[in-house]
Amino acid sequence: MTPDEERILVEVTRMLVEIIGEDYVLDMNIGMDTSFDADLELESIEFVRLAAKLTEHYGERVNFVAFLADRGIDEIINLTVGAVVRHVVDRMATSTAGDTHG
Amino acid sequence: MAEVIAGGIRFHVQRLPAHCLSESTDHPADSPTVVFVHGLGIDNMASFYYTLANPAARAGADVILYDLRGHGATERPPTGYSVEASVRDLIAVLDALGVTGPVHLVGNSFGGMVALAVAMAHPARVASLLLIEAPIEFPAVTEDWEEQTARVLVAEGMKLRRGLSDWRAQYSRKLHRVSTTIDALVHGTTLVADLGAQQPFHRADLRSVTCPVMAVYGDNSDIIHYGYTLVDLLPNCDLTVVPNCSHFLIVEAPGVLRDLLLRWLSSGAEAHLMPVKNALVR
Repeated sequence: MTPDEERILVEVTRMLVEIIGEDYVLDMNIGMDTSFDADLELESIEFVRLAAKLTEHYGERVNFVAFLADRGIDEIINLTVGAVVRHVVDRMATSTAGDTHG
Repeated sequence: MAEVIAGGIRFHVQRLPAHCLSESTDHPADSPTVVFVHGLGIDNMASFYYTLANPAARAGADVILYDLRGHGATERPPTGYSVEASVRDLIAVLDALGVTGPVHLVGNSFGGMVALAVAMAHPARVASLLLIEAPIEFPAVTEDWEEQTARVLVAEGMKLRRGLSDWRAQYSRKLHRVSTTIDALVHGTTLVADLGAQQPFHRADLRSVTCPVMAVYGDNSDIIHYGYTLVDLLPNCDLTVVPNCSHFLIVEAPGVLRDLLLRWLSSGAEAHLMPVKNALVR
């Protein structure tokens, strides 16, 4: 895991705890391989809230709506935390590279 | 923005602006606004969010999704679950968002009933209706109405979650949450009583809905007869019947609904312009 991934993972984990509550996450060590469905049993509405939090936190540049738009609901729910973390890292790297303001 | 205070209630709202899915920055100022209204029980905006909302935004619509009172991530006050109260909620949410022009309403099941009621009460706010499996009345109240309703709500919720969960995990978080949600709605709010007291729509009021309406039902739906009633009464209503589908069209045929919605929007929601209608009506 790169330092960037590690940092984003911590932030995504915090968002997940806010959404589904500490009680459910307490005994679980959320990592890159953690599945939203099998491990976290994330409800589809909770994933909507996660997507909103990600956009709120990282800005439009993560374009999470487009990320979800290209996937069916089964695919979305079967995603791992790592897939989302890597998407955020990728988008941030891309937008920084293309940002003329530095 | 995920929270909107409307009528004193905290609503969970998600907006997908028309531009958010497009690479182009060149957008007409007059993008149509599409508002999705979900069904009862443990349904919530997610059933639209993952099926029709993104295609609509990608096709150039400003999309608004919200969780009904007591549902999803919206607050669950003890009262106010009638169709009329739901109409007030929807108008209050639109007001809070500053959306005053006519919108295209897409409603599923109870959400379709709410959409229809908005068109009757506030015709200037509605550009068109796309009604998916909308009832126009509730069955007569019987002694076991409460238990029956709870059972239907749970069953519908489970069907809506097809493919999302493994119900064998009896004590799973999801099952726990579903039963908690249903229990809270049925026993902690006036939802069941409000629906039990719900009056059927008046025929004269239905006849007054002049905006374009597309009603969609599954051919195996147990409420398909309402589709025929709507076509009969509404002056500007077309009916689409989707083969091999039940009341749970949104789960069973999301692709058909998506194509229908995109054609509906691209035609300016002009009823009678849709070549698909007769092919699917039996």
